[in-house]
Amino acid sequence: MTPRKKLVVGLVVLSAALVLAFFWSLIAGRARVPVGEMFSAKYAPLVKLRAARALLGIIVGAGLSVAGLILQAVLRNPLADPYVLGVSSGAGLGAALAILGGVAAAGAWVIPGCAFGGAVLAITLVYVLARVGKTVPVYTLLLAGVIINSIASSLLIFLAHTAIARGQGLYSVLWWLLGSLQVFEAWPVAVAGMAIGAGIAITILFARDLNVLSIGEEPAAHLGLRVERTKKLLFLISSLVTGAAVATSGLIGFVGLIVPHAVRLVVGPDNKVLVPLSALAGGTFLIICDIIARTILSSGELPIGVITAFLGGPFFIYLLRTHRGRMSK
Amino acid sequence: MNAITIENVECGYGGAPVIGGVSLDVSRGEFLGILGPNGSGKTTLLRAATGVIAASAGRITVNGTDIRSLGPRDIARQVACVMQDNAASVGAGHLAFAVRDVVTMGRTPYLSRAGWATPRDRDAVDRAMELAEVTHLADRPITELSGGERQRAFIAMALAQECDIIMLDEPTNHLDIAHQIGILDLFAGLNRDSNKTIVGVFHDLNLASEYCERLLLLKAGQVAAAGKPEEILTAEMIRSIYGARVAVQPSPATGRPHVFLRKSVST
Repeated sequence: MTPRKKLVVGLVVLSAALVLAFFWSLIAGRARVPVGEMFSAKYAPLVKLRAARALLGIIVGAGLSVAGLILQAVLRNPLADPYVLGVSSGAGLGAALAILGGVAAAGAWVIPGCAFGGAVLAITLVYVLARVGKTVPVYTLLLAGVIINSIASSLLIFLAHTAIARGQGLYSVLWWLLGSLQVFEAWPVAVAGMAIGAGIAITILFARDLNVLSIGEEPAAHLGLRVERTKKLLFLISSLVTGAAVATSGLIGFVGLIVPHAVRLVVGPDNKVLVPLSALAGGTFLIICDIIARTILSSGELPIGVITAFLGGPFFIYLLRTHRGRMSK
Repeated sequence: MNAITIENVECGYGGAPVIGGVSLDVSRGEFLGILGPNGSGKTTLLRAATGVIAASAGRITVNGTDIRSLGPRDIARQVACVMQDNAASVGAGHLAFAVRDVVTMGRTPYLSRAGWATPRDRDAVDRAMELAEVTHLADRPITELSGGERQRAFIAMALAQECDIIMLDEPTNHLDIAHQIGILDLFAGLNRDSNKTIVGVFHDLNLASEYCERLLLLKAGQVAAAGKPEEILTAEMIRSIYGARVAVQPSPATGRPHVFLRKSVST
């Protein structure tokens, strides 16, 4: 099958899956909406709320999947996910400061704003630390990401510890760290949607560059790529998309790692096909995880991060096993 | 017009220049070998000539045009490169591209961002795979190939670029003797039949002697000597450049000079 045909078939199948998951998420929940009354006035408020959640799920799932895909290709590391470069821990620290500092009540924008600010700060630090002259070698970048991640995590634990000592509850911080698709206001979803949509669109245009970069920077340069410039642009897109996703939904794990791998297992490694299909698959996966998170307990809702990791963890182990097998061949 | 001219070029990686004032003309259809000890700047010179690193002084032209006025895509349509085999860079498992996908990447300098490979691109890919004799491997993941097969796939990728000039950086490093001969025969054939200009960096002096018309000997970033293999590959020259004691004799097969090593420990 030519890549083009693969893409068309994949788009049809995954779009259908996404639409199905979307409508399923409207009716599923502790209060079931009968299919026939989905659009009736009686259920309108509930359906509207669920539609907003599903929309955020699509945006965040697509964004995290594409952000992970970019880093896997550019860092040439199959274990890369959107959080390896420090975006997540920076965002986590920002959100925790906002929650524990008591400023979150000032408005719905405070937590997303602080989280996004923390993400930008973290990725800027990582970038500055990793830079060698005019180049950004992938190994120093990964190392800087790991270092910033651990510094931010230790600060987060310090914050949590002092909060406990003061008798302050950590529930809302924990809830945020594990991620949720709860929508309190429409505009953060709209802003994140536009940012992530633009990021994915640009990434689609750079899909061939991702292919070429994945066989190495030197060969890519010989094929006419402006390697450093392209790398920097792709890191920037990946970081901003991740920052936007994390600011609106917290740290939902595993999506950005496993969705690109799962799609790759089916359609192969061509990023021209992978980028759009990973976006669709990521959105679908997150909607389904959210349905499970909302319905699995008879009372209350589980953080969605628990479900993505619970589904994603075993898959990741499977991947690691088969991966090792193939490498030793 | 020369394929490549290098005039008083100085270049490196930020610190002291690795190449200090090298000049070199490569005429069209030439098969040139660049030799020199480790760290003498062979690969750096190649990287400057392909525009991967910028020269800090001097001037480089490709087919008569200053390399500074050419974009990387323009260069990649005129100069293709085959590097030494690098198994680590090809991914693994389900991340690995099939040979045909890798060869198609050779069309990158011709493809637009949004566009797909056209029939014309696919023809170029098919021809390149045939020339490099990897057509039968087209659907195999690149990771599952032997070192020699994988190198041929990357050669096909370079051929798909349809360039007049092909640069080689120790293309047969780590390969067995049959693959060494096979791969250099391929380039010698392209040089003779399609008038491709070939510039290769070699460690193996005998291989260079056998295939190149002209040799350039680098030492510490400067041209130490240039000329026909018979003029360059002498015991005295190798002693003064490499600091190695060798004997040189014409090959019984071709008459080209061959280098025989002497051990310095008596047993």
